[in-house]
Parts: sequence; C-alpha cells; structure tokens
Amino acid sequence: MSEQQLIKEILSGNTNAFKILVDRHQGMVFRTAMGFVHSKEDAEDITQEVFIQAFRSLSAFQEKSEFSTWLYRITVNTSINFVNRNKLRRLLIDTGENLKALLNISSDEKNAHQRLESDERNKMVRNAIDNLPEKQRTAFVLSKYDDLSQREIADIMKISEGAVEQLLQRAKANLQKKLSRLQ
Amino acid sequence: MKTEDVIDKVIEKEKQVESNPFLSTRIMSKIATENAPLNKRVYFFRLLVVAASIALVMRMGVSIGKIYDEHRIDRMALNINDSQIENLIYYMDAAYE
Repeated sequence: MSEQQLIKEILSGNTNAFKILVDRHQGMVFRTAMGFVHSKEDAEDITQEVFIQAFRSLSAFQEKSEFSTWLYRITVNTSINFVNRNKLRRLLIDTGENLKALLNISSDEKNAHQRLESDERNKMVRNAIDNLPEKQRTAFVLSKYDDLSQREIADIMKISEGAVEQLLQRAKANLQKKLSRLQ
Repeated sequence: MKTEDVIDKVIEKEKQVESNPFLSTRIMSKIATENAPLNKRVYFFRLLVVAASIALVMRMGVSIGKIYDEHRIDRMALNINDSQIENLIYYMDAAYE
C-alpha cells in the first residue's frame, strides 16, 4: 500500500494503518534522534514523541513533499527541542558516568585505562558534534547518520544544495579543529 | 588514526544501536489511549462529582460563616458589667459595719 493510501486510511479513522507507517519509518527516526542525543533511551522517547506528533498533525500534511521528508523535519525539530530541554540532565548523567568509569578501574589496570581512553575519545567526538551550530549539526547528522544526499538534506532543511554543502564543510572543519587533540 | 576516521568509527558504533523491538507497539498504544473517546457515563459522573464538590464547599462556607456570626453577636458578653465582677465594696470594712 502506498503512503498516500495509508494516510487516507488513517484520516478516515483507521488508526491501525498508522502502525504500517511507524514500522516503515521507525528506524530512520530513531537513527536521526541518536545522532542528536547519543542515548538509546532518549532516542526512543524522541521517536515516540515524533510519531505521536505526526499522528496529531497528519491532517495538516499537504503532500507537497514526501512523507519521509515531512517526518524528518518533525524529527529534527523534536530532537533539537529535546536537547535544549534536557541540557542540565545530560550534564548530570555525564558527570555520573565519568565518576563511575573512574571508580571502575580494577586490578586489570592496562585494559581499564585503554577502555577509559576509548570512552573519553568517544565522548569528545559526541561533545564536538553536540557543540556544532544548530544548522551545521542538523546537516551533519542527516548526512552521516542517515546517509542522505545533499539534495535530500536541502529538501528537509528548506535550503539550497549549495548551502548544505557549505554547512557540511564548515561542520567538518569545526570538528577537525575541536578534535585535533585526537591525532 | 585520522580525526575523520575516529568520528566515523564513533558514528558507526551508534548506528548499530537497535531500538526496542516493542517500540512501535508502545507508540500505537499511546496513540490509542489518546484517541479513545471518553466514555459518556464516566464523563457525566465526572461532571456530577465536580458539581457536588463545588456545592459542598459552598455549603460549608455558609455554615462556617453562620457559626462565626453567632459568636460575634453575643449579647451576654457585650452586657457584662465589669464593675459587678469585682465589686470592691465587699472588701471594704465600711460595707460590713
């Protein structure tokens, strides 16, 4: 069944048809959310929020763009709002994790230190992505986590392909600068 | 290792994380709960309870107000003559003579 038919079914009252849409797009929404929050639980919460929001405003979907493009827009906005809402909580969780990692250094110190270093490196990369300006971060996540083309990213962000290219270049340069210590 | 490789490695690791297999069920049940029309009986019962609560609170207010009024206009209290309470004349020798 095509997406247009499914949407008509849902709007005529067949709520179960929405499950097919959820099953089709759940992976992509979850992956994008992961790019913004880097946590499975938070990404699942965002996925739920995105689909509920999509269900509520399905009647407003005008089919000018693809359903997936529309869903990507909702995902990006929901993820950014989620990140802004939970900044303090994220900070507390990170501090807790750091302490836990430090306290877990056991007798096998060599391995523990290697693990600690690897964790630290991963965290630095995540922090660097999180600290990118909003538009650069959105373009970067859509490109790297969802493997979308510049054309598709341009449609989602409602900007030109050239602008997307520029955002991606700047994002990469910023990340290189922030993570130069890793080399 | 190049910085770009490190970034790609971290991203690849995150992309391999799978969501809970019951996530779609969780989403659908949430939508079903939101979408369920409220039972008419429950709706009227709720209205009735709210109206009864308001009436009860008003009745209590009036009752308390009345109690307060009764105490305020206590004629006995107002007419107490202080000089009769402690009539000093009883303590004066002259009075018994």
